[in-house]
Amino acid sequence: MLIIRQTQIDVLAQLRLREFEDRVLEHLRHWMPRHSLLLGEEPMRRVVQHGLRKARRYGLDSECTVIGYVDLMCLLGSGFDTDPLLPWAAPILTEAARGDPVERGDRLYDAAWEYIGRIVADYRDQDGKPLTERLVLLLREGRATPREELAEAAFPAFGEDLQRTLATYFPAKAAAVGEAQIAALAQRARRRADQHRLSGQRGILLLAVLMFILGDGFDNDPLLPWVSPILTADADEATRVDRLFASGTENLRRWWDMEKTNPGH
Amino acid sequence: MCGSGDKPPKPSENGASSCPAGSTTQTCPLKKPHLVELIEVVARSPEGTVVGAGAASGKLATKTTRTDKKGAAYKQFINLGKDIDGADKRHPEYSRAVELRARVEGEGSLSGLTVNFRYVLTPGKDRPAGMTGGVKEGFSSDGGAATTSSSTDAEGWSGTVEFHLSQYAGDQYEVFAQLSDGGAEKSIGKFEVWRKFWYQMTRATTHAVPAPAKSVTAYAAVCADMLAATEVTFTKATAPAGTFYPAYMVRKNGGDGEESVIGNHNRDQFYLKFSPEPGKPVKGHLIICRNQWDPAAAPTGLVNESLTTDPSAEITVALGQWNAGIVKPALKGSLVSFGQWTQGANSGAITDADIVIEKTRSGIDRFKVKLPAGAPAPTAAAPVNVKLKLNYGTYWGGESNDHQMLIVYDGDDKAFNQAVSHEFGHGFALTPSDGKQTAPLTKHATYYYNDQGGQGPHCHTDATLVVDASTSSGKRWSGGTCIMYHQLSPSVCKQVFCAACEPHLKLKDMSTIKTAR
Repeated sequence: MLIIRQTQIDVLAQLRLREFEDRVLEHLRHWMPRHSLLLGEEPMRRVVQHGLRKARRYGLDSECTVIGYVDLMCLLGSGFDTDPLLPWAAPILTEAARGDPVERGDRLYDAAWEYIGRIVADYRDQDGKPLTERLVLLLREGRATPREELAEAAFPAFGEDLQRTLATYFPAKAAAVGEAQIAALAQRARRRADQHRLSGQRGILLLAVLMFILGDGFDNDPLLPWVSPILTADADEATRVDRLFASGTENLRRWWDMEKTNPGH
Repeated sequence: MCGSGDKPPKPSENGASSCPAGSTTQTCPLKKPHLVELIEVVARSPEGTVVGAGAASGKLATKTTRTDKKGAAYKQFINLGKDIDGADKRHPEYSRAVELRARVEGEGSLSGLTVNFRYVLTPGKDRPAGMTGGVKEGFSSDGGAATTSSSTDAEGWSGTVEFHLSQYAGDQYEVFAQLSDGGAEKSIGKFEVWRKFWYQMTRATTHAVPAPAKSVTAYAAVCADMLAATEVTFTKATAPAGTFYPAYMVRKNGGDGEESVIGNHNRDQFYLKFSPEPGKPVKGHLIICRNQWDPAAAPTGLVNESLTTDPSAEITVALGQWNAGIVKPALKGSLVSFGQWTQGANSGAITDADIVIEKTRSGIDRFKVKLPAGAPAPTAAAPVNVKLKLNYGTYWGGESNDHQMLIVYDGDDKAFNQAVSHEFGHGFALTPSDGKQTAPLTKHATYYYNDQGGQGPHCHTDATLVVDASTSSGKRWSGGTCIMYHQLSPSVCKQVFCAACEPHLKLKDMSTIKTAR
């Protein structure tokens, strides 16, 4: 009788996982070519592994649903499952009667694309061309915000400014999300800033904008590996905020430049 | 980042297994083969996907993207060949055929599965009932079957299926595919029947001419894109002789400025200014002139005048036509066909040099005679008798000869646009006489011919028949509002092809410009 040791099974499982990751990477190279080009293979592999862990947590463990989950991470941010600005996701992911994972994955997909359909006007014009400038303009406006500490008494005005700014540059997304959610975003940005040792108005606004554009979990997103080193660096607040602005602008430009040079697959 | 472009497939259709990711077990049920995509393809060695009416493929690289749309429908220009720019630049949006493939994914063998194709038609406005044969839509050929099937290969691809749109402009199609044993149906489209043609404008550098915007709109209304090709200009130095005249020669009180005059005397040389382009095979040549004049076939009748002064008083010659005049030099040959002065037994010749056309003449059928040296000085008591026959010309508002079109632009944009639309309309065989219409269309309801006005076949929508002795029938249509009415009528022309003409034009494939005769 042939005996298979547990170590052999583990090796086989690792091999199967690696093969699966390769298949997802191939899928992403086709459907998410800019993510794949910007990050490179190993960082994208870490994205896939992150997606696999999260998808399994929600019972979406079929190959096809994991791929669908990773697709949505790329489109909405890796933390889309817990993003308060995307409240339609959690009920589908956490429903008690989990049922067929493929059917649930399809429902998640449909809900995501219904949402994307409502906000896409902020990202692309009627001909499908990307609207690059408004992202850069928004960051540039944020850079003009004072560095002074945000006093408690000034916070309501800060929240109103954030509402106005986001509604100006991202009207479709601001409308889809709603005023209450943006007000809550301002609060979360302030708490997140505190965690990152930021207390100035400029830094808090930048975090709020990036949370709005890139997803609530942008500061811990394997798709955005340039963020965390800046925020955790041993440097003063002004330096880190300036670097975050510069890197944000640079990465957005690289992203959209790739669209110009590589519009198809 | 929601700025991403192509939409990836949903989990049930992304081609991956429904087994747990990284599973090492052998008990996972096979994922049943199912249709994952229906795409448009183009054979450009190698074959690739056409994005637009269909999505990008999960397997086949994108070759090109359709951009020409009307509303949500993608335009299919049925009057152009797919390979007019070469096989490596094959145009999926040209010709009546669109090429489609479906793909199946799943576990187990993917070959030998049957994919069924069907289409849904949304008829264009006033599509005639009973379209059959070559003008009808279908799979594999013009007028082909309403459905077709194709077997998949080992990779799950169906064969390339051709769907041929109808020949009726505005018809829209959505094509569907489904595995023969059921499952989700995939669709692609819509595709809409359009035609495309170009115009090359040739004009004098000194003659500013606007783009024919109303014509472009009129043709868009019958689903035809009318596009500008490279313009050609000419100067007096590069134009044939007899092209430029001072305006007073061709128009009363016209002034000294020189204007282009094109007609039978020089138009063949202007025809040569047409630049054929393989990639624009349906191209009309709009030769724009300020005046269209043709030399009359025969000289005037004999003018017999008694001169009492030299130069003479203004002489009016009966030309017998409202649209005729005397210009110097003559459009063709000599101005004086026959000329003689006499006084008693003395006589001599009158030549072109003795004909005076003044800037202030009171009509373009008028001139003066300055007697040549050697002729006596006329007086009331001793007049000099002059006998003359002059070659003259007639002026017109435009004409077409297949793709060569002579168009007058005198600053009246409406008349100009009507003329452009009208001559192209003739080029696309409007207005057909009974029996010449494309089946299954019935007789054109408002057709008429030369005997009721104009030259060639025309349309009398909204016109009334009036008495006119100059036509062979004694009657003429007056006040027509269709582009295809025989007279330039900027104040009443609606700048559209009327309801009677529209279906006839829409059923033309417009693959050539050939004047209706």
